[in-house]
Amino acid sequence: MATVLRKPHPKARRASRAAKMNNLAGYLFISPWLIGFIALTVGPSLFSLVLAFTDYDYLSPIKWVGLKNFVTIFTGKDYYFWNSIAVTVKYVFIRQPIFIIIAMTAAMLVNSLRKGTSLFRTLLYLPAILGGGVAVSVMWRMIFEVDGFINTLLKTIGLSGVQWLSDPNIALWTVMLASLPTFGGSMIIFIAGLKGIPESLYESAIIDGANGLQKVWYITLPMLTPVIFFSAIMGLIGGMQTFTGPYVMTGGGPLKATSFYMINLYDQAFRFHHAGYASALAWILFVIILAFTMLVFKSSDLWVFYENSLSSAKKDRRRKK
Amino acid sequence: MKKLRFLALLMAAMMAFTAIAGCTASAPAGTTQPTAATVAPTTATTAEPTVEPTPKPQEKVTLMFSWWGNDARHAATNAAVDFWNKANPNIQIQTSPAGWDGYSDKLLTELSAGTAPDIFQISTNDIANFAQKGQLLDLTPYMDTLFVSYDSILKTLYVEDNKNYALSTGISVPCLTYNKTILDKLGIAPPTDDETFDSLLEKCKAATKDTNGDGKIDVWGIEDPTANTDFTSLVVTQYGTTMFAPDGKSSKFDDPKLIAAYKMLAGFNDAGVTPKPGEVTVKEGSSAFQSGYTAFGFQALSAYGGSAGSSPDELDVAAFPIVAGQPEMRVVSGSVPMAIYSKGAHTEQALQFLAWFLTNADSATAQGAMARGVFPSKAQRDVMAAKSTTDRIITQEMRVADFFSTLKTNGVMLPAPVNITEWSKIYLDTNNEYAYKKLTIEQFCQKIKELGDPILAQ
Repeated sequence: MATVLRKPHPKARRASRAAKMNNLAGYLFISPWLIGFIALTVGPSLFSLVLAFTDYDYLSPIKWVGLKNFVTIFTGKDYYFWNSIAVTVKYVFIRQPIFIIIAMTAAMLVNSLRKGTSLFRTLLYLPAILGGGVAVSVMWRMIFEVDGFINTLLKTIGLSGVQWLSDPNIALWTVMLASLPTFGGSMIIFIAGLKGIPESLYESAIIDGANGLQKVWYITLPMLTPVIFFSAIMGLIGGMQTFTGPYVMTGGGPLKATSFYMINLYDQAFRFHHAGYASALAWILFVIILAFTMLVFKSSDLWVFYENSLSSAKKDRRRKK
Repeated sequence: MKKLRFLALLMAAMMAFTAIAGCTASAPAGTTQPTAATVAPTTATTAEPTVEPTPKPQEKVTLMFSWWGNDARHAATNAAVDFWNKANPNIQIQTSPAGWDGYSDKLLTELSAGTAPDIFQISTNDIANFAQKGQLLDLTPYMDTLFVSYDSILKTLYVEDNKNYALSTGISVPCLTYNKTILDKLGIAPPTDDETFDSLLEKCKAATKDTNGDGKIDVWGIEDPTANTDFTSLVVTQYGTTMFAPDGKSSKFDDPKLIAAYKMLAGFNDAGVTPKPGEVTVKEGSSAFQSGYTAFGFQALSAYGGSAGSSPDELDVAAFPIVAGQPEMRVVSGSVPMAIYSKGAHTEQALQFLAWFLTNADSATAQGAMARGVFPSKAQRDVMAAKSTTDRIITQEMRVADFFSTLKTNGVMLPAPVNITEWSKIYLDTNNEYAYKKLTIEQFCQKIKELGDPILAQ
């Protein structure tokens, strides 16, 4: 028997047209953002990928050089490249765990308050509003100068000053220290995470005789691992692109101790006019950040606990084995 | 329902249209449309500049003039521009003064986009680079006409391939500045114009003291003299060599004469008369001398006016020291240069304004102050001479400038190599290693040669 193809029912045709109109309306509504994203983000990113294989100094025609920029980078001809990677990675992998611990501790303290929660939450969040921009970095530089506020205070109590920004062994730690007060944003997210932990878990723990530390270790921390994971990823991505603080506070010195990757990239692009080479550096940074991010994602199976997730089921199976 | 859907679609379409319209800015009437920033419109060219024919009397042109500086320079320059605009209704100048930060970046962007100002102040580090890429007008044909009264010695500066691409806005000889208050307090005789480096070292030793009794030195003789290539290059010249090869493609940091010059300067650090790295806080854009930590300093004459102006009666200036035992060698350098955009629409008018600004007495009168070093023409200096009886700083600056103009100056400042900015970063970072005693002065010179030459050769 031949299959008879029937025309769609008129009502079905109207529904399909309505769905298309809805889709069109949706695309039109997001078109301002879409146009901006394509024109100002995707487009320039693709152009920079092309530039990475060229020699371009803004004034001369673009000259294709193939892999020359990457060869220069990986054969050690860039005096600053490997040092900048080492400095940046050291900064991220030391600073970010400290940052998370501070944000989490602050969140737990604020969450445990019976009175004044809003006041303390606001006060601790304020530095995050100021951010790590140029003005704040200038302020930090003035605070940590040889005869700045901190050393003046130390001298007042009979201690000798410290070369916070001019001692190569201390400068990077000073830059890290200056970046820590902006934990407020992460703190807010941790507070939200804490509020999502079911009270029943703590009640059960109390019944089982758990003390405060045990409650934190066995309940709070595991339940907060998704937030910690998020904070770690965002901190990794942001930290690898650190620029303003070290650039303003130390300019990359002393003795390249704070010569971050982005400072080298900025110098190559805007001071030395090597746009092609700087683009190659930018794409290498992208690959490095991608690699680290994937590593953290891969590791999340081992330490991130999602309630009712496949991941937690997998862990249960492993435990039974 | 249909009406609602139609209204929603209409709103969405209007939003999309607004976004598209916002992305494509239309030029206001009467101005040129800037080219896209990603386009590199130029090719390196050595073609002769095309100069616009003289406009008809009723045709009005407007030129853009930009520079960087402090408030005093802005005020002086704007005053001169106002004078010019009143006297030349057909050639109007619009000004765009700025601070130093970001100036070079902005200029590079404007050159790349084809929207650079007609006349602009330019960093000495950028002249070779921009000239090579055909961005600067060749001023050589006009040296004996429009710029005939411009100081001949300054015409030897900023020359690329035997062509003048930029002109210094003033005489800015390197000087030895000193703090009279500190020297008086310590009973040290002020330096003379014939000061040698040996006698300067002795004076620096006498000036390095703990003046407040806390057991720590708080006044030093001088800042590390190896750190600033503007001054080390002069010392190197006195030793009979130069820092760079004539073609700018390599340095001479393996030349025994240059190493001897650096060893002499390193003697100041070895004697302990310079503050160690991080020992003092120097304000941004300033120096240890200007911040009051050292009794002596090396400074360009054009910068001296600004720092001395804030410390009345405290500072004075003498000629740059000479190296005992070497043939007398003095070098004149220039103040901040100015150039003309080769692709501007009205280069002839731009030339007329620049010539007036740099050589005409009315320009000096209108400026009322030497905001860029001592004026580069005699007519302008005569105007200042009349003022010098009442202005201490002008007196000091004119004295030093006159001193140099009477000398048989036999040192020529070679133009900076094309990649000087990148080379300078290597220099400063390696000098830092020397300052932190990670390198001896000989190792420092060797490392500069190894790391810096590949950059110069690019």
